[in-house]
Amino acid sequence: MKLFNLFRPKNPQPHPEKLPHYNDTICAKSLKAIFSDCSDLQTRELAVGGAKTGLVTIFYLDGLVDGNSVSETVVRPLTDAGRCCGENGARASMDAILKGAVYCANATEKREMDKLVEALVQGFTAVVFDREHSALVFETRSGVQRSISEPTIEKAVKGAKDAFIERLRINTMLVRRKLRTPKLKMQSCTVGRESGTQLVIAYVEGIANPKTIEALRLRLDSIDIDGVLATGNLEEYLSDAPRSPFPLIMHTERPDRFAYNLLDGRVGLLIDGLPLGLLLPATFSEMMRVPEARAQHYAIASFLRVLRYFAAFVSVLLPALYLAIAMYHQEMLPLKMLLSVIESKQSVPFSTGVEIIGMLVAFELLQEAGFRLPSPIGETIGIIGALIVGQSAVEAKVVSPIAVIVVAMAGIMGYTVPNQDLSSALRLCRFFMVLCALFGGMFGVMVGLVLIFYHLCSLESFGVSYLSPLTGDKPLGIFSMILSVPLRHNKYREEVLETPNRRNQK
Amino acid sequence: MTYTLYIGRRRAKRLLLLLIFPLFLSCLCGCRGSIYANYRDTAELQLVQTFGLDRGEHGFELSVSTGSGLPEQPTVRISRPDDSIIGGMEELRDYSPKNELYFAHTRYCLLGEGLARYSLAEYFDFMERSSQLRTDIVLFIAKDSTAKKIIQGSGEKSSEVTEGLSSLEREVRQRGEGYPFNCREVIRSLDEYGSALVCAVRASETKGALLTDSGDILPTSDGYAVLRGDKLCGFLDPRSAVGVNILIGKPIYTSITFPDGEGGDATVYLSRGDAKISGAWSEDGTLSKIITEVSIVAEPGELQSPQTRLDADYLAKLNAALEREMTSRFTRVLRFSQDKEADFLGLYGILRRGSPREISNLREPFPAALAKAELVVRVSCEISPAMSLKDSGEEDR
Repeated sequence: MKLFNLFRPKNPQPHPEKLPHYNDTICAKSLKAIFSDCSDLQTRELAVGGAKTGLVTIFYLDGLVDGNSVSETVVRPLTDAGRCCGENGARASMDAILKGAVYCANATEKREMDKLVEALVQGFTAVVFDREHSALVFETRSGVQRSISEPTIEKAVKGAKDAFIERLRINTMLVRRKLRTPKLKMQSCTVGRESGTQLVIAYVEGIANPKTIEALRLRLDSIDIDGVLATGNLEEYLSDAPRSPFPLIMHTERPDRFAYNLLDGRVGLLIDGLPLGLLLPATFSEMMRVPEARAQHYAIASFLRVLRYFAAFVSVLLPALYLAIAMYHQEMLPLKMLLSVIESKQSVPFSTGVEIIGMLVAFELLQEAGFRLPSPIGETIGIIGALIVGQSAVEAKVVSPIAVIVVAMAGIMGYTVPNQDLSSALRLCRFFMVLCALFGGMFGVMVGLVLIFYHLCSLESFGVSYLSPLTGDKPLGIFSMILSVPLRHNKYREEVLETPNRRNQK
Repeated sequence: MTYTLYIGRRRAKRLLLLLIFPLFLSCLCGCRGSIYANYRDTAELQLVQTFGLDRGEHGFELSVSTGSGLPEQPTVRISRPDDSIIGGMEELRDYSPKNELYFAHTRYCLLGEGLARYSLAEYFDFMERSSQLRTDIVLFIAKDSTAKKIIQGSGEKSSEVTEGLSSLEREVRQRGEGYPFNCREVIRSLDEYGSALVCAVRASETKGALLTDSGDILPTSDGYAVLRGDKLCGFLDPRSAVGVNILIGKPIYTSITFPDGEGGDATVYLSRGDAKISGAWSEDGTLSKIITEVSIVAEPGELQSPQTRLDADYLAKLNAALEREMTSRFTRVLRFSQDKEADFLGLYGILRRGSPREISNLREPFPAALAKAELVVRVSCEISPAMSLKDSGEEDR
């Protein structure tokens, strides 16, 4: 919401960047100078084809490249007199190498120092020809990587068991395996001055909205930061409303979900070093879907989605409603329930407001502690917090049992929201609603709800309304938001995504 | 880095709108300043469950009972006279420095006969305007007694007045010896027909009858009190109340005892009763007759005449005797309505549905026309032994 956009830095300093970073002519000496004090830089002088005059220097960063690959596909053919002949001059040798004298599949020539340095840090091996002020680079990246494992957050019983890993190429491979079509386009770009993070924009040509692809490309081009090491670094720049707590970009760790969304007309973004894929435009309804929904019967999927919406609503409102009713509107409770509330409040020294806010903060602290600790200890913390501390607090009459029930119910229901970022935003809303209820009773709750809905209605993700299809001009949009239909009747892609081809089946 | 507050014109407008919006809403809903006045500490609330009203020397006498809700809270039963109902409630609310009486959950309202005979206009007016009491409070009128006497004289726990009224409400609803009309229904009936029925209760002495260690008085059902134009105009006894319930279409499942025509008494369970009321109109447009046709289905319960099994002759006599008994009850109810010129049965509405033109052409008020009409009551009874093991022959098998 623009309301929070009140503070702006005075006289913002431009980020100093001069391009190119390295302006030297290519030679072994200057390259060594650039990588001085880099202990992982490996260099070796070689005689091309065993000749005495054709000396070249080979450079690579240890760890980023595969040593065997360098030896077998670069050094061995380079020094083989039968394949490369250094006596004919450096230029002739380079031409011969580029034409296949060296086995390595990917070989290109670099004439600018900036490009050469970039190739080296990406895991290429460089062969520098001092006389020609030029270098040849060979792709010899290390194969060391984490194996493809099961998703840890988006688990599914009836679904694929592979998840994205930190290697970009593996991730593109996982997506390509799901969508074996040349229409699946993957455009690369690099973001981050120092991190040099590689990104891939993935989309299905003819399905994704070209305006969205163009907008994404423009936003990526305009990013000029030191490093992109977490999704948050990118999301803030790509998001339409970075100050909003609600996520405007979806992320998934499942290649199948990523591929499904590409088929729906969304645009994906894969980032080297992150085991996640970003998807956009994001809508509230898409975030409330679980990856397994497409594998379930439509009636079950609809029922579970309705439950999730209900749980999300209750999670945000329950503490606030309890607070408002217990403090200001006791007449709204049925007699027997009010009697049990009064009974539970007897001998508790704190007011209802302090009780609920205290319990909410305690719940968040327990959750935070559980997340930060290794999983066995985290579970122990949960048990100690929920059972022992909670029960002891009730028995000591520090808090009333009903307050514990209300906060615990709200917390548990919040976990049913499939998207972690959305869940966190709703946690924030829960506190906001509690404060509204504390100061304004039911009136405050209503005002709080109106403000949240106002904010949600004002959000857009790449030109798509965040609450669509609820906010569209179709009166039955709410049904398509919360209900699934049999696949054979679901013949069109979402209208709001403005895909060139809306039909998804015959 | 230093920061300065920057608000653009458009943003300032939006901010201003967002600030004004809650204030604007508060103006619409009338919540100005009343939110915090509404704050109550839940732990200190004492829920009033029975509210009594009598005619006092200077106006009203309010009595309240908090019911036997919580084990840690003793039942509070207090009374206070005041010029107005609201004044009395305000006085009662802060009866104790610690606890606060809370009226929003009042379930029953007990009205003294003296006040009911004097006038209930101010009470109904208060109920229609009150934001503190609900209109679905069940009304009772204390026959030959006062609300204060019943509330103050009741005991603790199960013999407390709220418990007594609660069980009485269930009982009359199930047995058909009355019907617990709530305040909203009474007010609506008064508005539409100028007359209404309220469940009547009697203060019964319980000394030695109940296993309680405190309290002498418990409310018991005693038919209907009939209101006409905000005042009590009479009572209908429990025997007539069964007839009333059949005529107004309320559920019945009650037993009645009557002479069986063979020198003994018979007790049957009434399981169903359907009444059809119509009017006969003379040529000059006056209401000449009220024709009431009732069909009743009953089951034999207890027969004092020595019958091994219900034979057809005895059953016919029994049916005839039941018809006589029920005819007398219906006639008594209708005659009461005529005598008091009180249309508590809602006959005006029934006849308007059947003969809308004739009703609209009536030259005098309906209660006056009703008083002059001839009563025709036809009752057909069917005592069915189907549910009796003895009479249906199940015993032989």
